[in-house]
Amino acid sequence: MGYDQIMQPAHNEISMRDFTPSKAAIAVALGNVEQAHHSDDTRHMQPAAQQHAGNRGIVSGWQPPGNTNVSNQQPLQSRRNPFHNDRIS
Amino acid sequence: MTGFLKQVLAQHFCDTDNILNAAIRADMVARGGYSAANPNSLLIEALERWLQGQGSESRPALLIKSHQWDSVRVGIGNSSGGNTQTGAEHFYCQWNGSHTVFALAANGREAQDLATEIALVFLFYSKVIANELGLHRFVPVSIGEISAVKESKENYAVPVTVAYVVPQTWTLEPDAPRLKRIIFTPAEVAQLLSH
Repeated sequence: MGYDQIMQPAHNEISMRDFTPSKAAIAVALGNVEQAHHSDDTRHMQPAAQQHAGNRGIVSGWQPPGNTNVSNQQPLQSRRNPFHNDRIS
Repeated sequence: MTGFLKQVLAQHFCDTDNILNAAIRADMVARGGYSAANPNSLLIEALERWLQGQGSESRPALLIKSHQWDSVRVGIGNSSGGNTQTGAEHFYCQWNGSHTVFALAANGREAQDLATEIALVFLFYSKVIANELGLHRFVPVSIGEISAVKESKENYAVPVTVAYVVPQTWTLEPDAPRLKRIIFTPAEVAQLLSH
């Protein structure tokens, strides 16, 4: 059966000229793009930028939990927990 | 980006063996296959150009519309480090953009088939497209509902939206080296010391 024999559906009317996609849908589809920049793909970063990211842990003495892009991070067990207070425990 | 999408779609439809949907494939074969020179085949064009001509043709069309790009700041002031020796500063940010391809046809079902076809092409090749264009993301967002078209009363359209993330890097370099005013030549140092 060709397209000519198919009944036309009920429809709305849209203006292609004025059409704008849903920003919320785009945000969901793209996800957290800044996170993508840090974790998925660092190949577009400048070498100096990568070095900067790698040095961040040394300079501050603290690394964000779960951040896996830092190339020179310390082993997990020796990383200082910023939320842990030895005096209380 | 509009030109790139036009090229991807043209390359997909130029060989009827590429076409996934059997009904679309049969229709393309009946129309003599896709070719820009074939006035009976699928029309693939930027929406602006189509609107200028206000094409009232009955043949199916894929009309590409670009939307705004939003700047996404990354880090503090988009800064991504610098070189202490040269004084160069590196920056990085991202642009979130989107395009919509309207699958236009005289029949609602045909418009829907065309929309599904191109959405699948974008989905299957999203990784390749992102790599080839240096994008951080290229994702099909949605296949819209069938609607009558305000600009072309005899046609139906189904919008297919894709979104992408464009990385942007740049470097600011000082006009003069940082240590330009420090004199290293022994003759000049000796001259300074003699005063």
